[in-house]
Amino acid sequence: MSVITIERKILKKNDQFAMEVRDFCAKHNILVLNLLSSPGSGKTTILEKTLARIKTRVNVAVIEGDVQTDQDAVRIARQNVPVVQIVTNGGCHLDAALVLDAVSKMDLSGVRLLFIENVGNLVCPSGFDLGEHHKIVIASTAEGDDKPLKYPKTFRVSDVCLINKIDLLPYLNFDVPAFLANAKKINPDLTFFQISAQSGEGLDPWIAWLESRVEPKQ
Amino acid sequence: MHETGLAQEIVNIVEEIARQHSPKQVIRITLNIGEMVAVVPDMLKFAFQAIVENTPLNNARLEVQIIPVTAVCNKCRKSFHISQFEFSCPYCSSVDLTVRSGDEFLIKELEFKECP
Ligand SMILES: Nc1nc2c(ncn2[C@@H]2O[C@H](COP(=O)(O)OP(=O)(O)O)[C@@H](O)[C@H]2O)c(=O)[nH]1
Ligand SMILES: [Mg+2]
Ligand SMILES: [Zn+2]
Repeated sequence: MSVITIERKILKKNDQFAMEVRDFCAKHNILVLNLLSSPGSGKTTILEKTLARIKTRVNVAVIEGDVQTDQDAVRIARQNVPVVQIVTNGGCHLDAALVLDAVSKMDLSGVRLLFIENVGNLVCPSGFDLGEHHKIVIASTAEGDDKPLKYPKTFRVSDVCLINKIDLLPYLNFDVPAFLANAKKINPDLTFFQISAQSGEGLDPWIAWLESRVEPKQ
Repeated sequence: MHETGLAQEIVNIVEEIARQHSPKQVIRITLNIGEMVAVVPDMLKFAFQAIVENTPLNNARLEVQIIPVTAVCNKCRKSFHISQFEFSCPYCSSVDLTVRSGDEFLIKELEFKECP
């Protein structure tokens, strides 16, 4: 009998690919944001509205992750920004190898901001480093104010939380202060933006947050 | 669910190390999984069993040690266990903490036996 201690990280390979993405993006001065949420909370709509507002001032590109179809990439392509669709064929999250592959296929010359729309899922994507600078969690009012307590890991690893669909607040019993308190218990450092991607309400501070972090177009 | 992919990753790593120790056989694999890691140990074991069936790793037992989330308060310097993802000091309520453990996801140990 013999026992060996190896202390080997199970996600080591993913972490190595993430490091390659990070190195590439650091070299080219690209800010990478990884968007996490359940399906239907409004990731693609937020991207459409954000791109429409920001693309004249900042060079942006998008990686779309979905279990099936390239519909979201088609929606983003209408904004005339570079976009690549990753279809995971059942996979519940993006991993860094997929992102590195997508990055190598894109023309990112001049791009300063890269959004990654992860697969809609509040559990699995939280464990996979994609080489991003910030994870951004999106929760929509229709999902209820208990989501931080039910999916704490995702709120813990994120730096920014977008509360979307605030236009629906009059019709729901979503308690905004309770949501904020729940999320802050898990992650006291979270930055919040309350927005409606549909009406555009609340988007200004979010856009300002983005623009303060990237180099504008020359 | 991603447990199947993770189980495959574990098998790949262990097979590679086992090859270096051949002809000894792996009889135990011990994982450390932090409480903050979004992995269900039973699902991981189930997936592992399915993958290793009819392979040399079929006799290896997958053991999981859960590592609690612990932190030290940067204000009152006390250490404590964090439950329910409540990241504040139970003694002084400060949220200025340094997390010490609970994020691990690794293969800690392998046990071998000599081939008969
Ligand atoms: N009322 C309302 N609906 C929204 C808002 N943002 C997105 N939606 C709708 O929510 C649905 C899902 O949006 P989508 O962007 O595809 O979500 P994704 O799955 O997270 O990418 C669509 O029908 C959107 O029109 C919002 O701010 N308010
Ligand atoms: Mg979408
Ligand atoms: Zn304290």
